[in-house]
Amino acid sequence: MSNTIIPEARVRLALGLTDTISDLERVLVALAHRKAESAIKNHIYYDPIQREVTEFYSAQDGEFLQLRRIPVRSITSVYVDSDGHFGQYPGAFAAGTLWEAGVEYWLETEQANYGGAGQLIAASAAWPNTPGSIKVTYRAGYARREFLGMATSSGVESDGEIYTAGVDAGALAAAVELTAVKAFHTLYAFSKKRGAGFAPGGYTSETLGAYRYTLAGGAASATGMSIAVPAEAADMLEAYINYGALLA
Amino acid sequence: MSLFVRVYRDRTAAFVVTITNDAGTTVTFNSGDNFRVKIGYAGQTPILDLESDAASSNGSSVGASNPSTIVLKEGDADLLTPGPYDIEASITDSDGIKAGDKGVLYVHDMMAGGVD
Repeated sequence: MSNTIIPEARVRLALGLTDTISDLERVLVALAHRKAESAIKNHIYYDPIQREVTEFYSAQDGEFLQLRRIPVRSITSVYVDSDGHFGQYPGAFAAGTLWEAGVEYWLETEQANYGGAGQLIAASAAWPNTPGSIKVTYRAGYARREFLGMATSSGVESDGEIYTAGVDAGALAAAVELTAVKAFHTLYAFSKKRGAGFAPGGYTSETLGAYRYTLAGGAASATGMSIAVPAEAADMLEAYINYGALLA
Repeated sequence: MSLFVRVYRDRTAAFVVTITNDAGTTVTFNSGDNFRVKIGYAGQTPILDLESDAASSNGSSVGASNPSTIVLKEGDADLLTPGPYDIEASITDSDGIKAGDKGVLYVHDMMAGGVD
C-alpha cells in the first residue's frame, strides 16, 4: 500500500533532477509533490490510493448506496442498525445487524474485484435513512501497479493490495506528475533566489498608455503560490472523478 | 551529489553507491557500521531493505565499505514492478543513522524469462 499516488522519484525524473540536485531543488520537489497529490485528490473528490476503510452512511436514493471512495475492490462487511448513530451508541452495530453479501445487498461490479461505480444495491429496495445507520468496511482505490499502467494480470500483493488485469490508472498518475512539475516550476520561479526583477502577486492596477502595472503584496501575493490542476491534467482526470461522492 | 540508478526487472544488477557529507567528502565506514539500501516509496515499508550485515533471502548484497557495491539479484529485481522508485542509502552504527542520501531508482521492463 502506498502513501502517495506516485513516488517522489517520478517527479525528479520528470524534472531531469537525477544525477545532480541542489538542496533547494530537493525541498521544492518534495513540496511540489505533496501539493500535487493534494490537488488531484481534491479534484476527483476521493483518495485513489488503495486501502481498507470503515465509513458511516445513511440512505441517499432508494436501493442504491453510493460509497465515497472508488473503485471498490472488496466489501469486508455491511452493518445496518437504525440505532447505530455512527457507531457511538452503546451496542451499536452488533453482530445481528450484519447484512449478508449477495443476499441482502450486492456490490455493482464490472469484473471480479472491481466496482468502478462504487455502488451497493439493497435487496430490500431501500437503505434506511436514519443518519449514521449504515456501517461499511471496504477496500477501495487503485494498486501501485495500476498507477504504473502495468496490471497485466490479477492478484493480491503481499500487503493485501488487490490488482486486476486491464485496470489502468496510469493517466491519473500522469496527472499528478504533470501537476507536480507545474507546481515545482511555480515554486522555483517564485523563490527568492529567482526573484530578481520579478515579483509575485495579482495586478492591483494597470495603465495602457506608457504601459505599467502594480502588483499586490502581502497576503495577495501569497495566493500566487496556490497550485491549480493544469487543464491537460484535468482532462486526464475526467474518467476518475467520483461525481457520486457529492451524494455520499 | 545524488543517487540515480537504473536496473532491469528480473535481471541481476550491480551498482556503486557513495555516501558523502555536506562538504562532498566521502563518509568514513568504520568496522561495525551497517550500509543500508532501501528501495520503495517514501513514507511506507520498503519493498527491498538491503544491508551489508547480511545478504537478502534472494542473495542480494551490500558491500561493507563506502563507496559500496550493491548487487541486486534477479529474485529481488523481480519484486519491483517496472517504473520509478525512491532509493535511500545510509550508514548506520549503534548511535543510529550516520549519513544518508536519497535518489531515484528506475526499473526497466524486460522480456519474459530469465537469462542464464
